[in-house]
Amino acid sequence: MASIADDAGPPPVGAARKVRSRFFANSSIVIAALIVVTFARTYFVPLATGSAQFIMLRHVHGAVFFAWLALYVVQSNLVAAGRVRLHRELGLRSSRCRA
Amino acid sequence: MMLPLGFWMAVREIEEKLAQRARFPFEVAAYNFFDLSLFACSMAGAVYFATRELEWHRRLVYVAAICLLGPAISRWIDFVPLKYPLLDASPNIVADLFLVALALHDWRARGRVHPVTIVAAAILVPFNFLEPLIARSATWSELAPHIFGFR
Repeated sequence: MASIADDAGPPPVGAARKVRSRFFANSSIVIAALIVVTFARTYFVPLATGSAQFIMLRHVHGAVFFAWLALYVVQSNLVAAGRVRLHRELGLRSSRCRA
Repeated sequence: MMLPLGFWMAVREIEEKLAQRARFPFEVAAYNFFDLSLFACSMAGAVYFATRELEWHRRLVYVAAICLLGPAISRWIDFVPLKYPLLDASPNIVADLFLVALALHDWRARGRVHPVTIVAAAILVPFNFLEPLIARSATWSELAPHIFGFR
């Protein structure tokens, strides 16, 4: 059975291993940054300055989706840091919350 | 929780469009419906493969995240000089560029593209081009009121 740090296929060498091991963690940060920056423009800043009003459903919807995004970043980085046990524990707990 | 909230938001948006007497009041809900469905399928697959195939698990979570990117990118796309249907398709098409990054990663790390990357690209890219056409189609206009409880 493959370990969490290994891809199937030939053993990695040099730079390829570095790129592989951080790819999912780094991309989760890029995706999260993209979303947060975007919603800063259309949600966070108007909310902070009071220039727009939002219904409660929009706040709850945003909170839940941003919670998933935060979990995605944390989980990807836990695996990249080798903290697989904590990653699994958090994954199990969050799936219980989702249910 | 994400799915019911996403659908609830879609219902609110439909109500707003109906109040504005929009020509296609159910159009925007198509994006909610299909993006959330693809997200749910990817996450369900990711959970299933979490203890079976780790490389499938991590790619499926990545694909699920891509499915949520469209709404964020759509907030910038208004600045792009495109017209329907390309304008409407472009947020998800731009999000699909993350699949190119994944394919390049696969190629460098494994020497070949992973099956999840291939299947995700084969589903998402053509579908995202077709989505604006589906969203304004007579079939969707007929189906959506039933899905979102307007009939």
